[in-house]
Parts: sequence; structure tokens; C-alpha cells
Amino acid sequence: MHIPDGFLNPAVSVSTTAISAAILAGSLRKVNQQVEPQQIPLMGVLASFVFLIQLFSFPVGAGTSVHLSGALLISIILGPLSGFIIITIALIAMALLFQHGGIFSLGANALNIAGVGCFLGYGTYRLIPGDRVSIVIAGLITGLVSSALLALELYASDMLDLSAGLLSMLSIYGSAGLIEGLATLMIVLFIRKVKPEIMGSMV
Amino acid sequence: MKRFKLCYFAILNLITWTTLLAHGHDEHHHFHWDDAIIGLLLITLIFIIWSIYLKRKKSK
Repeated sequence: MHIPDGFLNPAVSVSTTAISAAILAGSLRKVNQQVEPQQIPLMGVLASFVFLIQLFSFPVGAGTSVHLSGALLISIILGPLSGFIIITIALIAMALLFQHGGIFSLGANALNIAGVGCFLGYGTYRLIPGDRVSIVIAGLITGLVSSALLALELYASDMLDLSAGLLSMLSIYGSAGLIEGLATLMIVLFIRKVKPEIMGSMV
Repeated sequence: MKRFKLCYFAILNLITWTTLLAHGHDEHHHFHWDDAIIGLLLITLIFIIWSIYLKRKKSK
């Protein structure tokens, strides 16, 4: 899911970076207004958690691998704006230290993973009735939309044949999204049991 | 809180060790302890600086 450097053309790279930077700036302004300084360490702990779970990649053949993103989980626990900041910081650390995603494709990666995972995932979770089912469906939709967006970015950069690549990407990342939804459900149920006061504690 | 912290560190340990064992010798999925620790320190530093900034901003 993390796009390395050299895969996106400058136009796609610049436009996705501009969109992600705008979302990040807006999220930072809103979070700075509404969050107390005492709540920041919790965000740091969750960023560390995301950093580690995203390093845990499962090879799925064809030179690619899938991993949990944690975006849906973080946005359900804290809120989508805090979630976007947390995932973006984890992505920056991974790009700088592990070459897990490129520096010039950071904007695209933030948009695909943090943007879709936090905003679309959280929106789906809130819109669909049925608490447990909505989390799993949100995971699935997040996986599908993230992969479709990734495929479109690669297609726009002349790196992917859309007719051949889209279906395989949707099937791989759709399955990963379903697993992400189930994992998120288990962790959310656990946190609700042991630490319910942190659920939805930010924006 | 204590139980929550214990579970959190247990999960972190599980993920880290599984990653190390699963991909430690795979050419395409190197897992470097030093990079992981520096990454965690970098993230911690970013949030410490943010926390200090926010505390100063709110106290004004």
C-alpha cells in the first residue's frame, strides 16, 4: 500500500501532497483548539502502535504486501482529525527510517491510508446502523476505496494498466480491509471494556 | 489503567517479536531494531514537543 519514490509522476505527487497538507493543516488547527495538552501523550502512544503494526507486512505475491493501517481504529478511538495527524506522523517516520513508502509519495500515501481510513472509515462507521457490523463494513470499504485510489494514482502516473490492475488490487486490499475491520472490532471491544473513557475523547 | 498499559505493552511485544521472527531473514522485509527504536523515539519526540507547545499556548 505504501507507494515508494519513483512510482508517481510529479503532477500526481504534487497534487496529492497539496491535498494531504491542507487536510493536515486543518486537522492540526482544530485539534490544537479542542484538545488538552494532557491528551497528547495518548496520541503519541497510538502513533507508536500504528508505526509498529504498519511495519508488519504480509507478502501476497506479485512483489507486493499488505498490512493493517490502524487508521479506522485510531479514528474510532480518538476521532478522525486526530487519527489523520497520528497516521501521517507514523508514515513520515516510516518513510524516513524504513523506506516504507517514499518521501515524494508521502502525500499520496497519507491520502490513501490516513485520509480514506480516517474520514471515510469513520463516516461509514457512524452512518451504518449496528455497531459491530458497521466497524467491519467500514474496514472493508476503507480497503476497497484506498486500493481504488492507489490504482488511479498509479494509472495517472502511467505505472499501471487499470483494467488489469484494478481488479487484483481490489481483491487483495478488499480482503485486507475485511481483516482490518475484524481486527479493529476486536480491539475496540477490548478498549470499551478496559478503558471506555478514552473512546471518542478527541476530534 | 495498569491493566490497559500491560495489555498495550503485551500487544506491542507480540507484534514486534512476530515481525522479527517472520521477516527477520526475508530480503524484502528487513526489520531493523535500531530503526524501529529510532522511529519510536522520533514519534515520542514529536508528541513531546507538541505537548509542550500546546501547554504554553493554552497557558497564555
